[in-house]
Amino acid sequence: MSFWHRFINRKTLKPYDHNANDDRHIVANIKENIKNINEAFKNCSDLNIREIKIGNDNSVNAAVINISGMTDTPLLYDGILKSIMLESRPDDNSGKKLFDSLKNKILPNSEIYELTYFKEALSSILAGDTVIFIDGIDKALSCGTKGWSARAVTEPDSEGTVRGPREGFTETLRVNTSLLRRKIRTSDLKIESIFLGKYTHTEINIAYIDGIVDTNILNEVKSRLSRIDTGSILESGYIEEFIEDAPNSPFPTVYHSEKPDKIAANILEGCVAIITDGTPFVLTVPATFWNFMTASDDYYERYFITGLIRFLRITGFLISILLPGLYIAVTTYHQDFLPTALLISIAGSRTNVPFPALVEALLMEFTFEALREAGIRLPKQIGQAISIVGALVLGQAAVSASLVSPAMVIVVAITGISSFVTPSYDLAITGRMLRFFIMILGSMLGLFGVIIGFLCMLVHMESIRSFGIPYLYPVTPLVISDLKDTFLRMPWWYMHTRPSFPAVNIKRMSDDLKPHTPEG
Amino acid sequence: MKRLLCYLLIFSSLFVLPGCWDASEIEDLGISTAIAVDRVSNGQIQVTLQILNPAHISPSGGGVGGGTGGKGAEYWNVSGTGDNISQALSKISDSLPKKLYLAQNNIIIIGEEMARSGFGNLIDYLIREPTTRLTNYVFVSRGKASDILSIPPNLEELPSDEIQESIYTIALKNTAPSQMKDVAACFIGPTSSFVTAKIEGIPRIPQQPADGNQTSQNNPEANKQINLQGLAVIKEGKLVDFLTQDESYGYMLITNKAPRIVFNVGCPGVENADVAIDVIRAVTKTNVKIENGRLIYNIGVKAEGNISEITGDLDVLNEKNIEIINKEVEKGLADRIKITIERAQDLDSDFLGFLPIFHRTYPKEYKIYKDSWNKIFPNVGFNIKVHYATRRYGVNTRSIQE
Repeated sequence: MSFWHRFINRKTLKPYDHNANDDRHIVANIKENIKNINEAFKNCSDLNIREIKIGNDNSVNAAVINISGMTDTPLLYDGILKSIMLESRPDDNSGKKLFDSLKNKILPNSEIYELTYFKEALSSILAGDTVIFIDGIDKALSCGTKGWSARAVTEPDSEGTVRGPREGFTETLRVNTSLLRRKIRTSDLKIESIFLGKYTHTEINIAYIDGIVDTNILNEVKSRLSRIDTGSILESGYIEEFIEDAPNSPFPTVYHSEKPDKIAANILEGCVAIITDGTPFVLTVPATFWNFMTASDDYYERYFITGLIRFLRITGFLISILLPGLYIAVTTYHQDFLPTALLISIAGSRTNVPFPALVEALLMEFTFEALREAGIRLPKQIGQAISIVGALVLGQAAVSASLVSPAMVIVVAITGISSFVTPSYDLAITGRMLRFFIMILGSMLGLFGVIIGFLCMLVHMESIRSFGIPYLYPVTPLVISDLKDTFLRMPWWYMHTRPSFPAVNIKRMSDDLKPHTPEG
Repeated sequence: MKRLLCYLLIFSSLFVLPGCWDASEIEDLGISTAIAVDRVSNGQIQVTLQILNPAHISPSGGGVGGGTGGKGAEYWNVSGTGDNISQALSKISDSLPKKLYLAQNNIIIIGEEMARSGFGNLIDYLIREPTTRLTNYVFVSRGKASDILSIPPNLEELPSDEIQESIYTIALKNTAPSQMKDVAACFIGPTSSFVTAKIEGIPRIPQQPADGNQTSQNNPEANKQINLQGLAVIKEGKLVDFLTQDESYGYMLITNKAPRIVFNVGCPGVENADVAIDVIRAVTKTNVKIENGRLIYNIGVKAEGNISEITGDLDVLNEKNIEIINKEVEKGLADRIKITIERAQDLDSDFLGFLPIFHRTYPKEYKIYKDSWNKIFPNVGFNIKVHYATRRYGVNTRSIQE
């Protein structure tokens, strides 16, 4: 690395953390505590401090502190303010007794914690809980009152399905874990929590099934997550980039999905899920190439349909990478490969086209990619208009103006359709990138270049791993018993075992579950 | 970092070392689909190429085949003359606005004149040329080869296409086109005699009325059509003679390539009866024996056929009639084999491939006699045995004309 250091002087800066070295205790003097809170939340207009008097003779000063908008207001009124202001017992007079009485009897709340450090009070308030300070006590109470307006559980737009559950994860972590828990109702489903991001303080949950997961992989996940020392985590994509094995590879090595059933299925095969608060996208690791080639429907439709569809997907992926490159290579170097009739029609359609095949292809691919990108960002109504303009411009005008040949339009269209066949958007993007690489190689070196490019791609795929698993496993290294869920999906009654990698306990079901025709 | 630089270096050399010298856009190619080679006056060689004009070949078909030359035609027959093939081709290259491209060429037509004087140099050139396909079909034309390329196509858009399509239906034709690689193998084969397919232009019936098109009026070939029946005998790289229809069929029978053929046989004993027999299958087995110091070839043919047409009153349910018909067909087939063999012995040319059979059966004797085969072959004897059976009579048992 010293090579680059001569040019780039990278200073080692630590991410700023306001609370890192704050070891102040909560003090007995309530005025002091409120002052500290006010100081910490200076210029924060959404902070809400309610100073009240409690105890049976209303002699004890107390403060109820929360952030408005992040708390469930009815719960705050009925469950906390009403209780502590009106329901004090005769012996709740002061000091320790009152505090214990509040904690153990008066507050009808299931999430109540005692806080000792000032830092804890801050993070509790920021998480949406309500903190109660009482004069004379050097502790505070935190009551679970998280509640804000959140998106409902809806069908995810990014992953459509024909058959299968239509629910999708939401932006709220607890809703997401509940969706998983509802599918896997066992205490073996462990959900561990950690917080990342000095500013965002984002809650990350690690979900796995004790007994199936490989503890080595689990520990690796934990250690990679604990390495992350950053200011903010806004989406699971941040985490993905911090923990992936091949950060410079075009191929994704961390799987993500918006669908609880997919994540549950991955967990049940020994993967570790990483759920991030604030995003519906949940990560699972380890992920092989074949993970990105599967859709949840594969496991719900009957198995031979899945086999055909998987074949279609793999072919589509190859076409989306290779076809324009092959077309350029064959039409500029290997015209003898084509049947004469095809050669004539391609040559005839290219007669008035002013550009070489590569330029023609780049032009069309650029237009196609631009249209696609525009279609994603635009509102749905305008998106339709764009696609009509695109179809007319691409299909009609460009051809009749002899800017491109009809053959090239067909090639680009087939490539475009094929790239949509890949179920994972991540992998489809990989295909889109590699396509340009192969196109340039094909135009400079012909078929030789296309093959060199494809081989480079394969060698690269062989070389990368995801949390210890070779990326193309179980094809290379070949594990025949695990092939039952790659090119084909075997029927459920045949898949007796889980993939032997990453799962530890691989026995999935009892043998001989194949349905038989009853005798007689 | 050094590794990365190393990769970059290797990768960038990929672009420099092989270079792009071979690239050419598809529309810049002068695609030739047929080559015709003739020997013209003072011994020079004239090569004619059929160059496509892709822009004027409509993808949906249609359009009458355009004559030779001129803008807007589907093809252009361009000629060049020189002392040898290379010189003639380079003359063509000079006058062609595109890059001459022979890789899509599929048909080679050798003019009669050229064939009689030997065409080994042509095959040698085409095999040496890196782009030409070894699967080119080789024809010998009766008359000038370049004239064949000017015969306007009737169903296809290009004359070469019409020949090409005819080859695909060869199972029904009385000819055996061979590919360039086979011809080249025959050149160095043991007998140095072989046959290739003949191609000729025959008058079109009915005659096409002149359509007022200048080019087709000027084209003397405009009222001809191509015909692929028949074979040409090549001996020591030179055309010896063409075979007649019957001899061609005899050749096909002996070499086990017999196509369907319709025989017209009378039925002795039944007056005015005439039967058309469609011979659909014929399997030939040939072996050789040495008897009294003389080579005797036994040719056994097993054939089957159907009755396709009956003239006059003939009862096909009568076993005797069928037997008579079968005998007639057997005689007809045997006759054709016989005249073919006689012709081969006359020409002293073993194009029927009898020498390899001798080689297989008597490897030791072969070594002694292979060099004097030309003297032995005219004197070998032949036993011809044909067995024919009529399989299907059709749905009507008696003729409806009685």
